[in-house]
Formats: sequence, structure tokens, C-alpha cells
Amino acid sequence: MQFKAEVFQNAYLSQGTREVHAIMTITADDTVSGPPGLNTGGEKLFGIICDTSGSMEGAKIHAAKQAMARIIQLLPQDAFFFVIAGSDHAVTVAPCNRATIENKQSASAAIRGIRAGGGTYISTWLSQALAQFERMPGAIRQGLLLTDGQNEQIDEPRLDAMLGACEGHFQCECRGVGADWAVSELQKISGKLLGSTDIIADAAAIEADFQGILERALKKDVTDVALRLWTPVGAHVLFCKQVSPQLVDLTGRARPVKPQTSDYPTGAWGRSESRDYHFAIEVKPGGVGDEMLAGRASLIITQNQIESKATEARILAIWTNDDSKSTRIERHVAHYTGQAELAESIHQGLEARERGDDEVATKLLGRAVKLAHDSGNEATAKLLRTVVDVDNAREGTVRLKKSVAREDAMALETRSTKTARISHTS
Amino acid sequence: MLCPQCDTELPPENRFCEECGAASPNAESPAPELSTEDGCIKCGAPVESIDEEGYCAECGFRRGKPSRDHFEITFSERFAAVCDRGLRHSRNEDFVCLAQQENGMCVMVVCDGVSSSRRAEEASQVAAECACKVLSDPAGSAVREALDISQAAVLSVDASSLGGHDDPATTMVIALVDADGKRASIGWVGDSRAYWIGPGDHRQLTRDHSWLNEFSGAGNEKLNSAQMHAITRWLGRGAPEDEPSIINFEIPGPGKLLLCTDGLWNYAPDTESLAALVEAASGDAVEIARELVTFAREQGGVDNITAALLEFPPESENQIDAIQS
Repeated sequence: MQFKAEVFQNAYLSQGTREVHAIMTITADDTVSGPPGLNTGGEKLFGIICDTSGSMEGAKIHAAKQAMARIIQLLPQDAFFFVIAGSDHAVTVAPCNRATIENKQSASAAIRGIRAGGGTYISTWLSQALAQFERMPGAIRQGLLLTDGQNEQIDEPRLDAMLGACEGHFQCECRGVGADWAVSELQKISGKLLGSTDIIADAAAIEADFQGILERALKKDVTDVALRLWTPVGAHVLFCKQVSPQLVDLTGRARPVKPQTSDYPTGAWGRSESRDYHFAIEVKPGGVGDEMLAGRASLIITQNQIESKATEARILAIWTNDDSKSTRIERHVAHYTGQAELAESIHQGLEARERGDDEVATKLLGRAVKLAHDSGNEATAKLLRTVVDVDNAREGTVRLKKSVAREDAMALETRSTKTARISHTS
Repeated sequence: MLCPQCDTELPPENRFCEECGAASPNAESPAPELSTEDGCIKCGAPVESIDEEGYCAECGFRRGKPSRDHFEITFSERFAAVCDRGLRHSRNEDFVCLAQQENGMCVMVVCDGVSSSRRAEEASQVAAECACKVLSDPAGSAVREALDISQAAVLSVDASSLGGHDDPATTMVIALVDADGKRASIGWVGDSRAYWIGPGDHRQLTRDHSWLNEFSGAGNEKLNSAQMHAITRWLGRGAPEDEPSIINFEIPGPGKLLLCTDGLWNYAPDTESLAALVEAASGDAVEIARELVTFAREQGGVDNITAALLEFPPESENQIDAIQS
């Protein structure tokens, strides 16, 4: 597998301008062999963390047990897995083991024995998961956390500390079943652990969702990949965001490597995977005619504590007094700036709606409808229509729906970070 | 404010007096002079901090490759070139290539990257190297073919990641001199020039592709000097598809064939003054080229400067042996 990086930007800035924007597309190409020594397709460890608190009783625990048993059957024999049941504390239903027929059978039997009861202390679940993942530090380590409720208030500080301990040790997809869980809480967990959060409104859909997560996890080929950004002396990174396939603000995750250089973890990469990143860098302005390297972004893979550079691209700034050059906004930058505004309008619009500020909610969700329409983000446009009645998508004129199912609002909130991809040729 | 020389009223933004041409006391102090050993012009980082692409590893400003700032090619005592950044530009966007075929044919290529275009220094280098390679092929290629292939080579310079529309572009002047030293085929696009400087016989062989030449006459009085000298032909994207300018020049006898960029001829715009400089210079071809570059630097060196020289000795000497010595 080989990585390719491509930068899209308008490097031309008017005199005195300090802000440099660029979109970088990174693509993993498995049709080409990578640099010698790059170990791809290594061992994979898949960990399931399932909420078994009292609220899961009934259809939810039944569906969850079925889904777990099903995906364990689907695991290839060379993969590894474990299962943790979580309530007041964590129970290791199946410890980390190879997915042999015997191990699958005994795990399935143990899953059948799971009973719901107790509270929700997620810190204890993650602690147990971390211990399992640490048994295979070189593997591609993917977790899946399912819950239906909110973490106990008293566990919050411990959860925050535990997330810090887990960060970088495994990745985790988070799923909330039903509508009684908190979007922001699961997003906090999935954000730290480089995963996504989504709603499974109907317990019957758990199995299909789990299968999708497993499929994607099995496609991952290289783990512990970071985006390394060098910036010149005096420059300041305004933000670094993943903008496709989904919006993730990486700015706060910067790990300084040395002066002028920081790493942003990107987790594991799969075959043929492609992601876009948006950098905004504030630099010391140059004079007309000056050209500056405003940033050098590279992809760094760490294997057995050895770093290797997979690909690299430059972000430039050239100052000009020709307005026809400097005022043009590069279309990739424009597109993803719009997608970020779309997600932000939805987030704030739903918040306004929640606190009863219909005027602001109408304005923001209307703006979101227009942005989704203009950028061809059909998926988000469809989700928006569950919350507002659209009079004119092009103009962004909407009316708030009188009654909205809580699940629909949650689905809009969790999925609004999915961006429409821009085609590179047009 | 009044002009210190002729007392004409000087608007504060003027750098020169419009009446007498004296420098205004307001004129901003000129940019500092640069030398090849200098590191970053912006932050003072040492030359070791300049990376292979010419960026400063500290402040990020692009200085250009120090190795390109000044270089000389000496093929023989009669055949040499000097290419120099000059004093005011932060990069040297000129390029020069010389070659000699086994049969004694000489190839000279001088390019001036269009500084308003992106990656101009890459465009000039790619074009010059490409043309030189094509013409050095013993199978024998024509100047016309070399210009066409160089055009394609400039198109391949990728500057797309910078955004903007000004694709890499360069001028080019080529001289392909027969092995017996009797004829030269000279082709060009843009305003890089070829001159013949023989005893009492000084000629500019090329005619610039510029507004001044191509649209002389009505309406031109409105153009300022910069517009007059804007080139109308170049190599790179959007280049006009006109037939290239190619002439066959019969070498009249002993003398010197000089190829140069506007960084030199701007300081000696008429052929006689340039010829005088060449004739006043002494020594080998490389020493003469170096003296021409030094002259341009002393005159202000506002642009990159390139001079390539091929000397034809008096008839009594054997042409081929002389060149190959």
C-alpha cells in the first residue's frame, strides 16, 4: 500500500494577508506496493464493549446479544477478538483470543448468558477494554461501544481520565441505541478514540450496523498513522480538520513533536481509503512577490517505534498585488468551508430549537438547508427534512416541524458531520 | 517636495523625477544586495537552512536554490556561459545550457523564466535542458523541433498545487552552430537575444517578440515602458501557436556569437554599446561572459543576467580543433 498526497489551494494572497488555507487529499492506494519495511495487513484485534445496564433489559439486550454473536461468527479465523459486558463494572465475557471455531463457540455461549442489570459506569468498561487491547499493541486495534443511556454523573471525572489513558491505544466506534443517550457524551468518547458516533434508533438494526463496523475494521491495513505538520517560525495553526468523509476537528489533538512541528493522530487506514484535510495557518505576511512555505504536511506511520514518512505535500503562500489572483477562493477550500458551516448551522440550530428559540433555530436550519442543497449533500438534506418543512431549498426558507421524533433530531445531529465529497476534476 | 536636481514638484509616491529622471529622496532604499553565500534573506538563517527546493527551514520564505544563484559553464576557452541572479531578485530564473556534439556542432540555449509566472526558474531550466538534449543528439535535430519539444517540456512543469492561472513560462533563444563554423541556425521566442559581434560588424540577430516590435505605430504612445517590453511570445501554456522565429546566419568570419537575457541587454540596449563592452573585455570566453555579468550588476543588477559566448577565431586556425581544444 502506498499513500499519495495532493494539495488544493490558491497560494496567492493580497499584501498584508496572513491566513493561508489549503485542502489536502490523502489516498491510500493498495494497487501499488509501499515503501520497503512498511508492514501492512497485520494482525487485527476487534473488541466489543456492550452496555448491559438495567435499561438495556428487553428488546435491546436481546438484539445486542444476537448482533454480537453474529459478528463473532463473521470474524475471519486469523483475527482476534474480545467481548466486554458493562454496567456498574466491566465483565470480560470473552477475553482476547484468536477467532478460532472453538473460541467463537465458547464466546457465543458466554454471550447467551449475559443478563441486563445495574448502572452505567463507562470508565470501568474502557479500563477493561484497554487492558485487553494492550495485549496486542502491534495489532490494528478497533473497538465498538454500544450503549443506550447516559453515563452516571459520578463517573464523569473518571471517564475523562480514562479517555486520556486510552487515547492512542485503540480506536473506538460508538453507537447509541434508542433515544435516551447523550449525543455529546458519545461524541466525546468517539472523538478521543478516533471513531464516529451514530444512532441506532431501532434495536432491530443493531446487527446490520455492527456488521458494517466490522467490515470497515477488517479493511484497515495500517495503524498508528499521524499527520505531521511543519510550520514556519512565527506561524500559528488556526485549525486542522479532517473534512471528508466526515468532519473532525483535529486542532486540539496536536501533539508537539519538536519546535514548529506537531502530529495529529489519524488512526488506522484501510485499502483505497481517501480522506481530505483542511489546514488554516496564520503566517507572518511577506512582501509582494515573496513566496513562503507556509506548511509542510506529511503522513507518518509508526511501526515498532520506528517512524516512516509515507507521503508529503507543501502548502504555499505567494503575495501579490494582483487582486484577480488573490481574491479567488479555491473551490475545494470553498466547498469544505461550506460543509463545516453546514454542520455548525445544524448543531447550533438544534441547540436553539431545544431551548425554544424558534427564530434562531429557523434561521440556522434554513441556512443549513440552503448549504446542503447548494453543495449537493443529499444525505444531510434528507435528514434536515425530518426536522423542518422546506419551502424553498435554494433560498433556505424553512418552517420548524411542530413535533419531531427525538431519534430524528439525534440522527441529524450525529450524522451532520458527514460531508459531501468534492470531485477533483471539473 | 521639489526635485533636488531640477526643482520640479515631486509627488510623494514618485521614485523618480518625471522631468529630469533624478532619484527622488523619497525613493525607498533599494533591497540589500545578495551574495551566493547568504542564507535566508528574511530571517537571516544560515545557508544550511535552505532546503533543496530553496525554502528556509526556519521562516519558510523561498530564497531559491543557492546553487542556482550563480553558475558558469566553460566548454573551452572559446565557448562558455555565465548565469547570475543579479542583485535584486531573490531567485535566479534564467538558465543556460551549452553542448558540443562529437562532430563539433555547438549548441547554445539561453532561457529567461517569466517572473510573473509560477515556478519560472523550473520552466527555464526544464526548457533549456530539454532543448540542449534534443540538439545534442548526433542523429541531428533541427532548431524548430527543439523549440516544439521544449514547449511540451514547459507544459509538464506542474505548478497546479499553487492555484492561480499563471502557468510556468519562459523565453528561449537557441543557436546551433555547424561543425565547420560557417553557419548558425538561430531560433527564439520572447526577448532573449542573439548578437553577432565581429570586427566592424555588430548585429542583433534576433528580433524581440514584444509589444514594441509587434504593434509599433498607432496607439502605442499610451503604453508605458513596462507594457512596451512585455513579451508577446513565450514557451508554456497559452503560448501563441505562431511559427517560431528561426533564421540561418552565415558566419561572416572571425567574431563572437553572444546569447543573452534582458538582464544584460537592458543596460546596453543598442547593439553598439553592447558590442563595445564585448570588445573591451579581454580573456577567455568565460572571462568575457563574467565581465558582461559584472557590468550588469554594476549598473544595478535589477534582473537575472545570462551571457553565453562562442568565439570564432581567425580563418587561419582550424575551427573544429580550436573549439574542441
